[in-house]
Amino acid sequence: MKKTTNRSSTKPTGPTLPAWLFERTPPDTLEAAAFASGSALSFLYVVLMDPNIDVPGDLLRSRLALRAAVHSNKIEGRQTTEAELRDAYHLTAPGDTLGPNGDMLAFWRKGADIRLKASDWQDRLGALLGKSMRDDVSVWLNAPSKTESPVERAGALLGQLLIDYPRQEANALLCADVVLARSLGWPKPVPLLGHTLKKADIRLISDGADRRLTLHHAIARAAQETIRLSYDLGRRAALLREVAPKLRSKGADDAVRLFLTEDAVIISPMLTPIIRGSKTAMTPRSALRMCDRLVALGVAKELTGRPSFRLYGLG
Amino acid sequence: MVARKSDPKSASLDRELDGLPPDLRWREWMSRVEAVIFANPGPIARVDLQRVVAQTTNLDLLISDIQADLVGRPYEIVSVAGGWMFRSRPQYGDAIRAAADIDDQAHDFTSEEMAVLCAVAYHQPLDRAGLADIFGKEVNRDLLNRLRSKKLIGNGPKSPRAGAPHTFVTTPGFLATFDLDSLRDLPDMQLFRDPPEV
Repeated sequence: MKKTTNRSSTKPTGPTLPAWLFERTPPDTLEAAAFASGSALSFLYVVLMDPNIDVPGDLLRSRLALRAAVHSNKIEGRQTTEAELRDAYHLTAPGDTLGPNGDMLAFWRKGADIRLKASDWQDRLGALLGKSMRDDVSVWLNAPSKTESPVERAGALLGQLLIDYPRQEANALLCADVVLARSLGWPKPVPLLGHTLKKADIRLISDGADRRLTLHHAIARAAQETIRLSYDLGRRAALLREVAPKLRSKGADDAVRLFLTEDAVIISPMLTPIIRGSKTAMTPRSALRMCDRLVALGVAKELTGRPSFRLYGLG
Repeated sequence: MVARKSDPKSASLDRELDGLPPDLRWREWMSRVEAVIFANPGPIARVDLQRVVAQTTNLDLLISDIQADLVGRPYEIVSVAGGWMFRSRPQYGDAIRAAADIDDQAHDFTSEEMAVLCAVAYHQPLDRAGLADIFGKEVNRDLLNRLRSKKLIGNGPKSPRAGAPHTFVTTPGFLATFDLDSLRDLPDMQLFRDPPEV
């Protein structure tokens, strides 16, 4: 009988990723490209759903929504940074105007937060689109679906919307990501095409060119990046959960939960006077002390480098 | 504006017009699209126009042919807010105002107001200190309040500096007033040789 290796003595060295899945050069045949996107998506499914990996899904979607918003701005000809978008979103007081940057981030955040298993998911998607696009998308979604792959289905809607609404790329990309996520049985949309499909790709698709290879490449690339990001966030989340009991602040649990769902946490109004999503009160002083402690423990980062109006995130 | 016929059902509309030779069919499609744009009080969307021509008809080519026909006329078809509409050409603005006495107080801007609007549109979010950096002096609060009361700019995110002054951002009303679909329709900044003065 073979001697079994003692697993507990080996230090975990990160996830086992098949090297062939992360090939650098995009395949140039349709079959190989479809294989790459299909295998990356099914790997991603496991990463997202396996409770043993325990990826903080809301945080992941919050991060990807931010990337997608920066990317959408770029498609619209506005060069912006993640930092600028975070500021626009988090520093706007209730009742004030988010402005174009905050609007774009809010759009992707709402889009990535639609519960696809809930009965009102189409209404929530429709509320983010203009009226005429809303009607068209609704007709499309309710038409009997053909026996096509999830990528083809997302691509078909994307192609139609880019042609019919040539200057509403963000809407079209979100719709495609929603259809992809629905077809794959994910609980909420994960912005994949939204942060990868390049302006040149979009132009090709709007011109009616064969979009299949482009889409498979974009989805494979996005899924691969998201697999890596998911493992990274899963690891960091585990570290945060590990140190959480050491935090003595009242409401630390609620605050930790916020760090595991939000890309960026601002002290006021997210932690003080009431920790968002809870009924726990926290003073500004105690909130600041806790954030500094998380940074000192190496489980959170200050994202802005500013002395005030600071934003903190898992890292 | 529409001379309604007895049978207005769009389902019965012959979109393909297979009975006509190609050039007459194209002409008929042009006429239909022009009539629909004319009859609609606001911008009309691509999908609505596509309903009166064949599924495969290239609407952009069709509309550019109509536009070519309208050269020399005092009105034109313009692309606004994701659709198309008729509009009288800008050089006849004075004549139209003289005849119709349209109250356009709301849309009269001084050159200072225009300069501040431009600065906000291109550099938003921008606070008063940011405006002062651009213009080399403080921008009058009354002027900013006027633009705000016309709903062209709004209070945006707070600026992350001492006192947390709010920034200014443009509003949907700004886009509508200047006939822009979105901010990407702002003229390229390279076109401005001289910085605006206040």
